[in-house]
Amino acid sequence: MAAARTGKTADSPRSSPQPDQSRPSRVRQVWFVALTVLRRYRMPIHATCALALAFYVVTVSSAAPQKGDPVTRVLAQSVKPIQKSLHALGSTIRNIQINFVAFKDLWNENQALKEQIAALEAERNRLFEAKLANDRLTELLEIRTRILRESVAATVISNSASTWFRTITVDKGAGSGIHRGMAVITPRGVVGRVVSVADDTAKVLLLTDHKSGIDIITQRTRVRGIVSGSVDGEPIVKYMGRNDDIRPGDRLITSGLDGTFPKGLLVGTIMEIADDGPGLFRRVRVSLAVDPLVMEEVLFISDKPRPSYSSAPQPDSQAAPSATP
Amino acid sequence: MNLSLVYFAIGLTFVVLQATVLHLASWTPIIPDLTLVLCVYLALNRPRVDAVWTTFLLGYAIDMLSSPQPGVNAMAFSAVFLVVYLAFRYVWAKGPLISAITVFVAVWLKVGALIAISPLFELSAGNWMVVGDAVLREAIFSACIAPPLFLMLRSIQNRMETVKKPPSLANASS
Repeated sequence: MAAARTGKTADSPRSSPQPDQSRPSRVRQVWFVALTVLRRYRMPIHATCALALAFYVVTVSSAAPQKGDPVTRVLAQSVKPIQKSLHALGSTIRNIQINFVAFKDLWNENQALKEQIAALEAERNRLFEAKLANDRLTELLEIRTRILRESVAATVISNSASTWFRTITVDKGAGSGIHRGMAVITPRGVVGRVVSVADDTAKVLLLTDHKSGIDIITQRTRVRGIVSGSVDGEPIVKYMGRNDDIRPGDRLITSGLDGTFPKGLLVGTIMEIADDGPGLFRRVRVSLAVDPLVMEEVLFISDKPRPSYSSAPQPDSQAAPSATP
Repeated sequence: MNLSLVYFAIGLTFVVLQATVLHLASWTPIIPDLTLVLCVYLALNRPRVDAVWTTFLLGYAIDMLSSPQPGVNAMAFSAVFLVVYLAFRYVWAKGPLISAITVFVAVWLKVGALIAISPLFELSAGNWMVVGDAVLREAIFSACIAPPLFLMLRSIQNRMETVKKPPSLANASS
């Protein structure tokens, strides 16, 4: 500033012409103006320089991409360690990300597979139940075709609510042709008989009830007796004499004499014979062929013959293959 | 100068974040350009020569990390700095909305400069829609993140300048 001021006073027209001094002062003035402009517009100038440098770098790197521009070469060498560290850091984070995503995918897949397994398990269970029901109904249908009487199939909907009365309730009643006194069987053997009927339901008194009784014969020796339930739930055979030829394991079948059950249906097997009691008869414990607690479908047998067989009735004993040994 | 170094360090941190963590945080391939936000902040709030070269170097750092052609980001960032310096610093209104708008425009400027410079962006007509969509999303992300980032940078600047002030000046100002 001082130099410029000095130059300005030297260039004054009033002063005497001094060619040797005027040239440096003019240079100083130009230099001053240039400095002022540079100082005033230093920001745009620097920005333009930066732009130009960047453009130069782009141009050089485009012209010789294999070598790169000199600035890049120098900077690349200097920042190489930083770059490597950043790259390693980035790779680590990316690996963590990839592992996290993979873990998340695996977790999702695991959840989906678990849900699929649960669905398949339920489906398998349903199909297995359907197969079991199908087997049971097939057996029921088979025995129904063999029995020469009218019959109605029904499903057990409840068991007895009392300890003292052993009954079951089924989902069909008078509307389906069920009436009081009908015999109730399953493919495995005798269940009991109908004691009460509503429109849509029927109650069956089981053989295990102490009020029930069914006329039987032993399959091996044809000895007669009455199978009855008991309060303690263990059925017995009444009226078997001490001299009757019976032994444990003998199969008991319906005699057909009571007019309710067809002849030859399996009732159970003799489990134990007690001769120690007083009286004319022995105490015989029976294992029933049908466990009333696991029944699901039963067949009601009417005392009327089926229409197609009514003209030519055949012996009922042929209708009970389950009783054959 | 110290503040410029601090900003340069912050810028490098932003570059690293953009290269790594932001990809995790973002649910799309588009990530906000934190470095550009910093450059816009410098152009608006620190119009000094060292800020110009900080911007250039940050652009160059991005070039070295991610650009196949060195110099394009440096040039784009320098151009953005120049335009923001020349144009937006005369907008006297300040606030989060203004900063967001400035950054939004700056992203378009940056991509415009990149497209103008780099032969990599020789796009067919059909791809312009894709590019436009990507730029729009980047601009929106960056604009959204600009106000809090500006606040953070301003607080750093205030703290540094308070530290730089001599005790007598600090007392006088208080």
